Amino acid sequence: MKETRLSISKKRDRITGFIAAMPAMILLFIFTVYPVFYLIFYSLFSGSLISDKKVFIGLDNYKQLASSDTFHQVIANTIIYTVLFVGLTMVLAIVIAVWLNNPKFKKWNNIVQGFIFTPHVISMVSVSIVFLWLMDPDSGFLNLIITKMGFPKYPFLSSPSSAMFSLVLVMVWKSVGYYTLLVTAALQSIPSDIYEAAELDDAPKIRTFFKITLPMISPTILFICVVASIASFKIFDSVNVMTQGGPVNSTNTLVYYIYSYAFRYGKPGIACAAGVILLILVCIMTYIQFGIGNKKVYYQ
Amino acid sequence: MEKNKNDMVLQKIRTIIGLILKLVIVLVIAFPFYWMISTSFKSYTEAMLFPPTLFPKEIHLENYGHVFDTVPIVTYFFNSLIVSLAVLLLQYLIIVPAAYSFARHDYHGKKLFFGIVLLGLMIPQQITFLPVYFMFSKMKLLKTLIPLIIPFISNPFGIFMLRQYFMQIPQEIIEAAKLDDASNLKIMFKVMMPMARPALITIGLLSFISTWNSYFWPLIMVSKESLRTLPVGIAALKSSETLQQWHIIMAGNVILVVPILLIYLMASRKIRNSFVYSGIK
Amino acid sequence: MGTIQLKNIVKKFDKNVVIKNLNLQIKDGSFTVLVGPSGCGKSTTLRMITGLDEPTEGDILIDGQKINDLTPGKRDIAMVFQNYALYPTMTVKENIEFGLENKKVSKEERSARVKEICGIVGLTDYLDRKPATLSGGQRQRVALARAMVKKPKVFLMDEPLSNLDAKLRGQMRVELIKLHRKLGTTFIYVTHDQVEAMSMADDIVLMKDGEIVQQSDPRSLYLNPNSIYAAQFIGTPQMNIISDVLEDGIQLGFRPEKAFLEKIKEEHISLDGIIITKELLGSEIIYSCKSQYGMLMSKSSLEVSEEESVEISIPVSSIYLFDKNGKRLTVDENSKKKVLKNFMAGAEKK
Repeated sequence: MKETRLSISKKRDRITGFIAAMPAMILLFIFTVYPVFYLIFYSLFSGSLISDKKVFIGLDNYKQLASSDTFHQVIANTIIYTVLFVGLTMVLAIVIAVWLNNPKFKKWNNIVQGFIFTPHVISMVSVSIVFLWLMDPDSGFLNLIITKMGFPKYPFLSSPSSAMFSLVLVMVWKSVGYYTLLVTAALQSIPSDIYEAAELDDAPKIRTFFKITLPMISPTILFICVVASIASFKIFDSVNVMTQGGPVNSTNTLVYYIYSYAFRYGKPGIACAAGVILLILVCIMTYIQFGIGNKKVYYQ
Repeated sequence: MEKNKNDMVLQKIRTIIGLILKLVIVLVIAFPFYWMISTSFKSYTEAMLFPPTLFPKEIHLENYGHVFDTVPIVTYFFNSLIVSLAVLLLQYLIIVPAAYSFARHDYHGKKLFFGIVLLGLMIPQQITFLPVYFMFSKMKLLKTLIPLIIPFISNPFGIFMLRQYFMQIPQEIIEAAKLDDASNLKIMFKVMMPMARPALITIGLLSFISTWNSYFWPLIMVSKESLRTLPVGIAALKSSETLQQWHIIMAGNVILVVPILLIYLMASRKIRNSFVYSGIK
Repeated sequence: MGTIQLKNIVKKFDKNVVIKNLNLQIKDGSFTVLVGPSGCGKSTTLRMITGLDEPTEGDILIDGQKINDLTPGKRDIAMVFQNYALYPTMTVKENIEFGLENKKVSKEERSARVKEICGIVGLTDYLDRKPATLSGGQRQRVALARAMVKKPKVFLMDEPLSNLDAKLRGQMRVELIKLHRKLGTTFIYVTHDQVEAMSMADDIVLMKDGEIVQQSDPRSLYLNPNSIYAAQFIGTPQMNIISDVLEDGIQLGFRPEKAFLEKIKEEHISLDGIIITKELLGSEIIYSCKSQYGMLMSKSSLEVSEEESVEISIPVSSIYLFDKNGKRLTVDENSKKKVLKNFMAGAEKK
């Protein structure tokens, strides 16, 4: 069969498309997909993984993790951090977003919004360093304010009971502006005539918020919660800069644990196993995220 | 009318309380920045005072000089710059063709390829770092900046977003160009790229900021001091001979923060919109 | 009782004066339609009655009581929005009940009212559905039900039919007229569609640029427009206007329905024309004719071919005279005939 000019050009189109995507695909495969298999594979070994001296030990690494009190604490810490962070951030973000949504003060609200977003764009290292200083138990400025208000000095990062909460506070300070912005975007998708209908229905402001506004943005809120949770599972920077997992493992979180076992204790097999556990957690959360993401829009 | 007057006063009070609260929030956010800057100008003794002073008694610009003496901060700065710019530019080379092919070409394996992009979006660096580290170690590339650049130039978010943009360009425009006998390359450069400019800028901004700020990956991949990036270098300030020398540490921190702050001040609305888009996706 | 009065209303948006000095009276129990092109101020006026927008100056009264300071929810009014504004996360039943709950109406009373209203609009089978699962027509009925269940003094409607397809729109028009007759409550209806206005209203308020041009019943508006604007707003095709022919700038107008293409017995004037286009409307045909006075439209059931020469006959009684500013001139029969004689004389000269 004679090939027509059109079919040749279509074929060329196909090949072009394929080739155009190749570089990205190769890179993505090498640096995202392949490492996952590598991680799972090497979680079944111990010893120096790069050399030929590695030893196949099956699920022993996992068994070790399962019986390790430290690892249990690490998982608990990560979950506590996530719950505290997501809870605090979402409440603050919703309250601030609703408050800043008043069209009467649009100009001021925009300025405030721009301001509270600023910490989100700078490095977590910078934020950690400043707060490490501000939270210094002896000379930190925060304790000055606390003592001036009549309370005893707060131990912040120096005590196991308060260190985790302090880390959460730092992260909340850094990201509340970002999450507020996301909630604001959701609020603005609510058509104004619905609020007008509520006004005509003589609805008090609080009832309007709980029965109309909140339900309408709830899929977005849920979605944001999952995103924030996934971000919380991944924290490392503030832990490494501010507490190094201490005091007494009270701020030892999953990624920090993996890092420590890989580079400080020389046990990459355990690190890989813990990494697989992190992977499973992230996968579950991402799956939920995609599921909720599909339910977000109401009728227009 | 009596009722009106009372209402107006109540309104005014509410407005004032609202403004005060907003001011408090702005202060809570702005204060740590201020504290960072003011500490960087204090002398050692003044910085360590408790109760601390709000304003530095004298401005000690030499603190910044000390930073330059203690660590090779200029090297760090340029490392960060090289890495961020390299990722930014190389990324365009990789993601633009890929996004375009997803949007406007059809070929075998397209679905599989796109699946890989989605996987890339889901799998974080906290999971891939260890295997990738071993990879680079075997290839003896750990003494270079390559591990900080190459893994990030196939930015899956960038591919995703650009693809959306390319898909939204109406088919008619491309057909009109084809009828004008334009080659595919010409179509891409003269029609599609200009229309996708907002997306390209957004991707660029987000990519630059996130590469500049990244700490975890450079900390792990780079052990040679001369190859450190700025965040890693400044964090190290904390534990070297400058332990507890907050006035110097803060000076270093200011150097780390200022470039991004400048970028943010210039393009704040655009940056905020970029983050919102990436959040809602 | 539901009389509305707007006294000396001024409305400014920042520095922009949208409504200069509006005085409007709406009779109790009437179906009053505010009609006019986009931007004429009809929606703004409606919103000021609801309280969703406040007048910059002036008073709004319901049954003689000033309501400027009452919030929308306390004015004893209900509104149907153009896009329905149903609460998407609530069921139909919850949507309808919402206002009653806020007024602390008892559960039994609420159920009774909802049942009654749903019977009238035909929503009983949909009570547990959410708005997203309903068609456009059904959503519109929910919006109506939500308004009706409050038993307000006044119903306000802001272009409620504009999002429906033509057939449904026709049906709903009839439904609304029937509803008004049944309830007897004052209806204030905003639309840009003159057909809707003419078919539904007891009282039409024609607006332009924030002012009332004419307020009267549909028949009077059609037969006795007070200006070229009013005359041309009602009726399709528009009234023909001939200008620049008579002295003092007097303008002459007649409706296409009265531009006969055949000989008529009554006293009339005749104009020569050539048929340019024909539009078949079924029972009638719209012709555009080229004459020495420009293009004239005629609506007739007569069949004439294109490019044929015709003589257009217009009864003297169907001719309207307007001054140079477009304001209607009411003159006695003799003066009118005199003017027309001058007109025809001028015509022959040409």
